[in-house]
Amino acid sequence: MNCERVSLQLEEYLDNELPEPDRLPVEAHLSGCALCSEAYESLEREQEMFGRYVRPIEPGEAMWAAVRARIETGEDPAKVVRGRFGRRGLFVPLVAAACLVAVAGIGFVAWRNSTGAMGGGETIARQGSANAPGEAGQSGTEFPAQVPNVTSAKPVERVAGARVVSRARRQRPATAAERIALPTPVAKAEQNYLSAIALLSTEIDRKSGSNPEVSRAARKPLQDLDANIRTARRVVEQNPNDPIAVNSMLSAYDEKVETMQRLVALQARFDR
Amino acid sequence: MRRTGNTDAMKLPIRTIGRRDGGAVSVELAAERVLAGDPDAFRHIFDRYSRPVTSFIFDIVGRGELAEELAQETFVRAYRGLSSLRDSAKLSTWLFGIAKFTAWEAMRAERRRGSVGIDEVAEMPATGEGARPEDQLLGRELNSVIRDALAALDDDKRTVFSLRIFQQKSYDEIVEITGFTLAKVKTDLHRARSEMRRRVGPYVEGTV
Repeated sequence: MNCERVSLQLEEYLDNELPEPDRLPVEAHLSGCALCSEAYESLEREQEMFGRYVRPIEPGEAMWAAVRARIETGEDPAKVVRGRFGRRGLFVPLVAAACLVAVAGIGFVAWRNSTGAMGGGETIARQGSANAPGEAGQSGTEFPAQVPNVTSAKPVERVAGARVVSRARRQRPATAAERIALPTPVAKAEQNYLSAIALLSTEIDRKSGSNPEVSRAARKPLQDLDANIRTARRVVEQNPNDPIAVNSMLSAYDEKVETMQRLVALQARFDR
Repeated sequence: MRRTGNTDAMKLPIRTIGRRDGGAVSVELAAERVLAGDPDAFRHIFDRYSRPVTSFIFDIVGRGELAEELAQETFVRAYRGLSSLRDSAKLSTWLFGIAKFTAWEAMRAERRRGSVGIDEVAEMPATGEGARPEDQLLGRELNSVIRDALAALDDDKRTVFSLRIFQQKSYDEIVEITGFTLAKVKTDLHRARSEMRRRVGPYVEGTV
């Protein structure tokens, strides 16, 4: 074993992560090589130095009292965290998406007027199909299964007007048997994300004609994000009370909304 | 309405929580006792993990007050979700997983608001109680240097580095906590070490 190979394995050796067959040759080399031995001791000193790191935190009685009080009052933790540290966590995608549509309002109205009834209908149809389980939307995005619900069209109703309402209401809501129920706060959070995604999807679709290359480039990443959402949701369906699973799913939605927001911004830049 | 978390535990009289029974109870046993109807046992879990969990969250968010609030949140979530813990031997990994998600969630929310807390200047404590004044000064400087170097890492690397170097988690445990692949954990850890060495190294050479 030479020095170069040992240097590649030195950190894993220090972390005690090398399997026995790899560890023994490293040990033998270190005992006979002053250079590698010095490198190893340097790593050990570094480790010791990081061990002296002290943080300005004091988790003690006060924190326990707060934890205890919140357990006693039965406060919903997801609601609290998102409210306190990220009020926009649950609702920002919707608000952001609504803002995006509002910013693009003039363009939207102009587009609706120019395309007439058929143009608007196509957009709504795309949104409807996007909400259907397993069907890919025009922008290459695919919504996760089990959450088709007309309430997700509500923000669009406000933007697009009464005609949209009538079309959206005709969409058949999923029956209780078709949907796998999630705990109410989670279902609400998911619904907000879906509403935001629906809005952003419409915006992306609208601009995909003028920026086909951007839309094509975004298709694969968005499909990957959809796969992440589906996987995370399946885990939540199996473990609806697991906070890690729920957070994973909401994080996956969050990531998709952020990606779509970036895509919309990118499309707008190309338009300019 | 379905609720997130340990509904059985939530039905129990909470007034007993917070008493210490003084006995040495393993955290695994404590988790089983909470699930079996003894919410008092959750105090053992809190006592055992409050400092490492808060430290880990501090490494991610970089602010003491926020870290303590998020740690508090982590323990409330853990209490509610304890019934979903399948293997009490993995309590630590599970708890750090909740801490990681809670911290990342808060970071994302703050970034959307346009404020990222990691660069907040905090009064860093000196290393070691009762140390000589010059050592305290060196300790405070070391803390600031390490903290600034940590803040310069990206979220993935900072998380992996903290879990391995400060919390002494194995690679497999880091995989479970973060959801990263083993290859990514190794790569991020190696790069994080290199970046930390580059930033902290000059200071270390002069003092260690």
